Order: sequence, then C-alpha cells, then structure tokens
Amino acid sequence: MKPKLRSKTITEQVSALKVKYKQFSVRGDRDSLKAIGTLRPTARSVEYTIELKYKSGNSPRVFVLSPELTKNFKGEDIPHVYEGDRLCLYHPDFREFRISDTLADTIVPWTALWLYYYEVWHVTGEWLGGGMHPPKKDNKK
Amino acid sequence: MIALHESRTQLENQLDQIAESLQLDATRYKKMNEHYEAIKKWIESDEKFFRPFAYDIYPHGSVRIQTTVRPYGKNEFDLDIAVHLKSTTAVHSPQRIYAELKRRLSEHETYKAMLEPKNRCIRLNYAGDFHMDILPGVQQFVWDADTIQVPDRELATWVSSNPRGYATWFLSKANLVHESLLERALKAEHLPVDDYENKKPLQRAVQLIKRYRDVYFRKNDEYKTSSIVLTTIAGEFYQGQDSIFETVEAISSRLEREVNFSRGRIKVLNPVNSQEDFTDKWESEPQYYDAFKGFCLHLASQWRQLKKAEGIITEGAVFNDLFGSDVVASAQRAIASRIENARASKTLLVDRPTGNLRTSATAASGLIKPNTFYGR
Repeated sequence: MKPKLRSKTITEQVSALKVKYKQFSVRGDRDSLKAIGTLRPTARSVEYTIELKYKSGNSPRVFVLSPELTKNFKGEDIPHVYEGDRLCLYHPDFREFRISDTLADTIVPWTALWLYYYEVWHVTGEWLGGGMHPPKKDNKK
Repeated sequence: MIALHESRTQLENQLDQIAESLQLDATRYKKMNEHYEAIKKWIESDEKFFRPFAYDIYPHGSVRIQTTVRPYGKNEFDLDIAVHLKSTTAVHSPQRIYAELKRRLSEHETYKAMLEPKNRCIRLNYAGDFHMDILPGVQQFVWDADTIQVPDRELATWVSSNPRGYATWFLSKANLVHESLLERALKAEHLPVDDYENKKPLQRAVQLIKRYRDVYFRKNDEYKTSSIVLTTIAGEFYQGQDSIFETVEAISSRLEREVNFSRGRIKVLNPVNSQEDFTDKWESEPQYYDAFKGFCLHLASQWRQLKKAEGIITEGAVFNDLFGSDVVASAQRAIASRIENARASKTLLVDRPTGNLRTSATAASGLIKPNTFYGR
C-alpha cells in the first residue's frame, strides 16, 4: 500500500524557499507564508518581482508585482491567469502540485517558465507554452 | 540550443534564427539544385554550339556566397548561374553568345515557356518558387580564370565581369573569423556544431542587412539600395568579429560615420575590379544616395537600441521593426519549440539565483517538473 502523502509544513516550505532562492524574502507564520523575490526567465529579460502566497491546504497564489503585466500588441488579454492576474501555473486536476511538494521545486520554477512564455507571447502574439483552458461555463470569477 | 542564460549568446542565437528563417529551406534548396543540374546538362549536351568549347557552369551571386534572403512579401528566390566559355572573345560576338544560349534553352519544351530575355542574362521563371538568371560569358584573359566578358544587349558590346572572383573575395572576408561565438557556445554545451547550417557571422550579417533593407524600402522601393552594394560594404568593413551582432554593429556604426562626415558621397567599388563603381548612378541620381543615407542612420540607431538590452518585449519590438514580425515570430517559435522539447524530455532546468531557463545543469539549478498551464 502506498504511504499517504505527508503535507509539507510551513516551516519546511519557508526554509526550502530561503535556501534555494536567496534573492527571495520569505515570511511565514503558523499556517501561511508570503515570499517576494525576483526572477528573470532569460538573461535578456527584465527582472520581474513576484509575490507568492500560500496557506496550508490551499492552492498557492502567484502574482507579478512589477513590471505590471500588460496586454500584447494585438490588444489581447493575458493568457493563463485567473481573476486579478493571478498566474495559472498548473492544472488543479492533474496532481501536478501536491501537498507533499515544496513550492521551491514546483511553483517558483513554473513561474519562471510562465514569464518566459509571457514574453514570447508579447513578441509573437502566440502563447507557445501549451496548457489547457477551463470550459467556459466553469470559468467562475 | 536555447541559450537563455547568457545575454550575448541569447541575442546571437536569436539573430541567427531570424536569418535562418529568411533563407531557402533544405527541401527547396535541393529542388533548386536539381533544376540547376538539369539545366547544366541541357546546355552541355548542345551539339550545335556549346559542346565543342571548354567551359564551366557555376552558380554565382548570393547562392554561391550563402547570403540568400527570401524577397519581402514574396516567395521567389534568385539563383544566378554563369556559363563561362574558356575560349577568348576574339572568335565570338556578344550577340552570338547570347543568341546561342537563348536558342539552346528554347529547344527545351519546358524552358521555352519559362524563358524571359534580360539585358545581360536569360531568366527562367519557376513560378512561385524561384528564378534562375543564366549569364553567358567568355573568359577575358588566358591567365585569369575568373574574369569573363558578358554581352550587354542594350550597349551591344562586351562588359567585363568577375562573379567568381567576387565570391572568392567575399568568402575570404567571411573566413577572417576562426571560431564564432555560436560555435563556441555549441561546443560548450556539447552540441554538434554541424547541427547548425553553420554560417559565418559576416554571411548572417549580410542576410539581416538585406532583409532590413527590404523592410525599410517596402513602401517605396524606387531608390532601394542594391544587394551588391550592401554586400560589398559589409565585406569591406568587416574586421573578423566573432558575432553577428558585433558585425552589424561595426558595419552600421562605420556607415553612420561615413555618411555623416565624408565629403561628397561614399563610393562602393567592385573589390575585384576597382574600375567599376557599383554606385555610379548615385552620381546622376542623388536620390539613391539620400535614400541610402536614411537607411544607414536608421539601422545604426536601431542597433544601438538593441545594445541597451531593455528586455525581451522592447527588444522584440525593435526586431519586428527591423526584420518584419513574421520572421521574428518564426525564429521565436524555433527557440520555443526547443524549450518544449526540453520540457517534454524533462531536461529543462531553472537557474535559481536568476530564474533563467537553461538545459545544462549547474550547482544552483533545478529540474522543472511537468506542469500544464491552466486558466483563461
């Protein structure tokens, strides 16, 4: 029988983020954490400041604080975000992020990847990173 | 190669991809070669005139020096071919050579329908694909294997030409660099260098400058600067730089100085025949020179913009402006598809201190686990 996944504690999450992303400032309390730090998906990219919020048992929430995310030259809305331009980094039904995973090894690298495709989308007008869109009727705000 | 973790290599890879998407793809190159071989055979088997003479048939122009660029908004490439008779002009008249070539091509059912006589050459139109300009010529001197005389129909006389010598000159300039930045980067990542078509920085730079010329003059090409002028300037100003970026930078900043400060107009002489000024019509029609100046100044200022490295989005806009959004997008797609392959094979990493994506591991990098972007 498979052992049940053990949820990472906030302390473990905070320490993994601090060790692996030294440029992040990370603060945690009993059941939640907030990290703010910089990522540059390619050497010629601008530096993005991102914010990651996580409450035990909930989905992590990632926002880009600066520079502000914008529509592309075609005037199209930013793809793969939820309400409030929160980044949609993984499919909630595919168990890609599990409670036993560290944010440092999943959410943060996915954020860098998202930023890469965001830039390419600005230059080409196409989202080249694949992904899925929720069915229209389920796209609740 | 994805080359996203080192600024200079990243830019270089981008420029290389843009140039790549401008040229003949491998399938069409092969097709063009087959047509060329067939024409060559057809001329060589002519019993009436060509057979008895010793001669060479060879490509010249941009195909020979590997600087071809798809025309803007069109899809037809040029292939220039010389039919070089090794006897001397004494036994022929200019009209005769031209007429014999035309006669021979007209004897072929297919070629006959595609044939279009031009002033110095005969053009075969492969509709929608490319055209072949066939230049008949007779060697001028016994001791000079490259210089030929070609018939000029309008002038009804011989004109000296040295297309093979020009190609040799250009290629010797392109080979001034021993190992390019991209070749070094590929080796560093243990990727086979021949994966690339492996063009030299000067050849890539000429492709990009020609493309930029086509974009710049797209609305009014009356005074468009010719490819031979741009190619010659690039060869003359090239100093063996190891990157495409620095090659264009050196050429464009020198041009900017020359057009701003030289007394009178600049001249572009044929490097293998200094008697010939490629820009002699700039004298009688100064509008050509004015257009050329505007072009040079714009190129230099755009290139300085790229040097500032103000982020991918700003840079992308400069690229779109310089080369056209279609080729920039296809270059981006080529790079992004390599990222997708690395993701699929679980070899894509993130460099944690910077957030740069990369495919070669370091102590501070970690694999990116599979994910599916979701949301609207």
